[in-house]
Amino acid sequence: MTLFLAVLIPFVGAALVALVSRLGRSHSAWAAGAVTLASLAVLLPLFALPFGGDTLVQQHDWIPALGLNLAFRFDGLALLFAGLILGIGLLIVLYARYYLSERDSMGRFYSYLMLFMGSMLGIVLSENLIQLLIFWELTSLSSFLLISYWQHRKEARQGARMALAITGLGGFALLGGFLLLGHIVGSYELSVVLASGDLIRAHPLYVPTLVLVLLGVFTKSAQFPFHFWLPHAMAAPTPVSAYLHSATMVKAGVFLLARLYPALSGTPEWFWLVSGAGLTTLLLGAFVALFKHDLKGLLAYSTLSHLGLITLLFGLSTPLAAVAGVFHIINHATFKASLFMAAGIIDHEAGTRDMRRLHGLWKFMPYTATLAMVAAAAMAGVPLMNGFLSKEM
Amino acid sequence: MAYSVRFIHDVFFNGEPVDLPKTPHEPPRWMKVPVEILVVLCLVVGIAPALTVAPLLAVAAAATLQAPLPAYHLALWHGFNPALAMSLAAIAGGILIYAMHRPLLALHEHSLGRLDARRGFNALLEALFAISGWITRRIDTGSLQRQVFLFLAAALVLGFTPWLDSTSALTGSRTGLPLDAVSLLAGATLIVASLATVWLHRQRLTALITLGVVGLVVSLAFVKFSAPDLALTQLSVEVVTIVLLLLALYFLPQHAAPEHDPGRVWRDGVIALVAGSGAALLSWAVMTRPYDTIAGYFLANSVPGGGGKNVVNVILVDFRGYDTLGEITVLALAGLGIYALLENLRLDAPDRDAAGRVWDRDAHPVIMASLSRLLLPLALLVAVFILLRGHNQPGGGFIAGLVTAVALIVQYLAHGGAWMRERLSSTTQPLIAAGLALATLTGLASWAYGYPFLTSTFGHLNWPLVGEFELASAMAFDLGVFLVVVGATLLILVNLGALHDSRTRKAAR
Amino acid sequence: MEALLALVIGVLTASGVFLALRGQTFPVVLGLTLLSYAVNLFLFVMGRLAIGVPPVISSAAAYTDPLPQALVLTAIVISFGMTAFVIVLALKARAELGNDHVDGVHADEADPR
Repeated sequence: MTLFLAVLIPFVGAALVALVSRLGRSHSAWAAGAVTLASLAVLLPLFALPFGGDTLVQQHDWIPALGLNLAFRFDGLALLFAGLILGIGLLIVLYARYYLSERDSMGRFYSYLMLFMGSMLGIVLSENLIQLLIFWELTSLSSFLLISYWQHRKEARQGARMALAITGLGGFALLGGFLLLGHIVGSYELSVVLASGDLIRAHPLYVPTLVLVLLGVFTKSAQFPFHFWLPHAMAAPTPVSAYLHSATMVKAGVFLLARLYPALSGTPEWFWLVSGAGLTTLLLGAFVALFKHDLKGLLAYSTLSHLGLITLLFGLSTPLAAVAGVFHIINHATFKASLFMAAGIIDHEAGTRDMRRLHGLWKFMPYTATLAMVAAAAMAGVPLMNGFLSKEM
Repeated sequence: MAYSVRFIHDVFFNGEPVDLPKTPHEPPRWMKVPVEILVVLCLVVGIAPALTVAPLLAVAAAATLQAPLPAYHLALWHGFNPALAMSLAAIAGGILIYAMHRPLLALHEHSLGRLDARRGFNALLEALFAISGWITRRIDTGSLQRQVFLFLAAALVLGFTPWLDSTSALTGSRTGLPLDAVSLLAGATLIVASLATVWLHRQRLTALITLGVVGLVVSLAFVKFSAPDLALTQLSVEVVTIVLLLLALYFLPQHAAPEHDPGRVWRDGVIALVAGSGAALLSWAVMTRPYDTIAGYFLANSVPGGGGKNVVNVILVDFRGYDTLGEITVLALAGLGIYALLENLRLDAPDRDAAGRVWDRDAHPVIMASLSRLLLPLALLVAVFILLRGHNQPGGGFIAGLVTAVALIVQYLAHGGAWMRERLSSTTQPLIAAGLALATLTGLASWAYGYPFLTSTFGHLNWPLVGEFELASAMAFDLGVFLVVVGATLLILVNLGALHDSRTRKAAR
Repeated sequence: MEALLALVIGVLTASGVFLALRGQTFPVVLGLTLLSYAVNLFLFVMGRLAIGVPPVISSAAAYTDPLPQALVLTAIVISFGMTAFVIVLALKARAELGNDHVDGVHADEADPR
């Protein structure tokens, strides 16, 4: 019941936040913060479990006759992601309170944000593949709503449509992949799927399954050749970019790579497809980022490049590389979210994100500049920062 | 790497700002806190990884690999090894690239910078829209009448094809019931009324009356063939439907022009005859055959499993509660959809009937008004009675809901919308919401006790005065059904009636 | 008795189909209502005809099949919802388009496509 409750709270919270927004602007921010904390509080007692080497699986019968059940799973990977989602989510809630201007509807923003948070938690805590897919699609939908939050802007609407089309397409492919997986293994339960890696890899349908699952992963994590939606999604408010498009949602794809790693990895097809896409994205993102004039555009392409790095690491199929990939997920979430928030502060204070016009801000905001410099240094892999460590590995 | 350098150098140093829209200064205190926390995390993890992130990384990586972890070492200083050299080289290379990024930028603007994946995406999207539009236009000519015709024709072809190579006899071996005179008379009435509806469909009010006759005889048929629940439902639905159609008819032409095309009448007549004879033959073939039913399970388990003697009701709220939940959702959606459609609807209504006579000014006859007021408490009492006994005797949420709705609608008819609005809110959406929520919560409650969704339970209570009284969780579900049915029916009819009211008031002014 | 029921179902179906193919909205709604009677009766007789044995558990020796009845009961209510929705759509079409033809145009005004 606990895990179900943790996922349910943000969904109920979304309605609650929308309701209290009538009381005043700050109320919805407080409510959103409270919802996030509540969800965290529900999960907190369980945090010790994975450290003891246990995996918690909770199951609720839904339609047992059809084998459809609500099933949740809490292990180390879920712990890491749930921590990221809720922890960074809490910071974003605080940040967005000051970022949004008087004209923006707080209730709508926080309501969408809670919706997204619930869906994302649903993905990382799911035990059932079909259930995971439902939450996966929900993140695509809530991301669409958040990107198009400033509905009056054309680029916001276009970016939102593009993100929805690409991730929706990927979700469709993923459904196919999961159905094939279920057909091969005979169960949609992750515990069973993960334990039958050899069976899956030896099956004649392995290649189509892999390709379909990877299509879902690549579209969600904006890997080449589906990378282009992510920069256009930057039309969203900066807290959304920081939360969805660097720390969490684009990590859903990487999460799935990590999740299904024992089931699918270790074959030449996996190696070529995953590391190939990762390497291409890594180089492309780094190259294009160099020439972007838009501050957020630069960060978006650098996100692409880092996601490419993580994908590449998983693609290498060696245990050490996979550990490094997991480590880089943590590091990237911390420094990229802080960079996006710093970029948001600059945009907020200076009124532009054009790097041809932004110069010499040190004089005006030395403190923010220091913070951003440290984060950027972490991103560049300078020693003493976390980025250095994961690149080192 | 290079872009990090550019980010820092370009934004925070590198000369003066160029015509910024506003003068920047440090942001509010709390806006920086999240950034601070994350940056501190970066530093802490970077300096002392073994103390901070190592355990988390270990469990997460172990969960990823589902295998023992490889040997790795998290530390700031690994000594001068190739990896460190590569890192330093990358940083140096990054700075170097940034130093010469201006000429590169110029080169880029003229070459690769012009490539935009969005253009390709949009072209693809437009092409997809064009193709699907083309396919749709091939199939759909925009005429509903034509679509219905094609659909029915296709259904007939599909329905008749299997009969062509079937060798079994039309009539089965089951002995039928004997025909009695009353049934024959009722059947004849129904057939005549049905044909009259077709024949008179251009005189719309008359056609509506004959339609009502058809519905009443159908409910009589349900009484005859051991289906009291169905008869009650059919009867109350009939009343509601006729009131609804009458209200709608007010805004539609009272008479229709004759058909332009006699060929179409013949064509449709042939289709109708083929469809009718097909349905009749199929029913005959089925009814004359012996059959094997799964009803035995329901009959056997109704009392021990569902705690109710009325098997039909037990099936609805217990065995197949999931279906019922879906059905009341559909009904609620229909009600809300109609409410949305009626919003801002402007319709011209005639102030006189088809023969040119002005509508009667005495809209609410006194006798009907007084009688209906007397009837209301009785009708509501009957509704409650039907609801409560539904589990064991013919009745239940659907029927009780319809009876309640009819009782209230009679008040609307007798007194008019304005009179009712003073006494009863016409927004019944909360009722629908409450009903759906109650039904869903009843289902969810079974989770709390560790049973599958919508598992029902029951027990017997000894109430003072009343004696032994059975209490089943299915009753709460039935109450939800009741609320949704009342809410949706009233929402539909009252809003359609309100449309009607605003017309009459305008006409009276 | 079975023959009478079969005949009734046939007539209802034929009338319903014929009216559903008309061009104006009101006869189409009438036709759909007649068709839903036909379908409900058809589903009902799948449980075969039986007199005086309602499916209410008592000391009786036999009961009729309750399952088709349960299905038909909800079908009646749903078809009411559908009828209501269709008739309001017809009203809306009349308000928006100014006529009561199902295609939004009179047959003689329709451009030949």
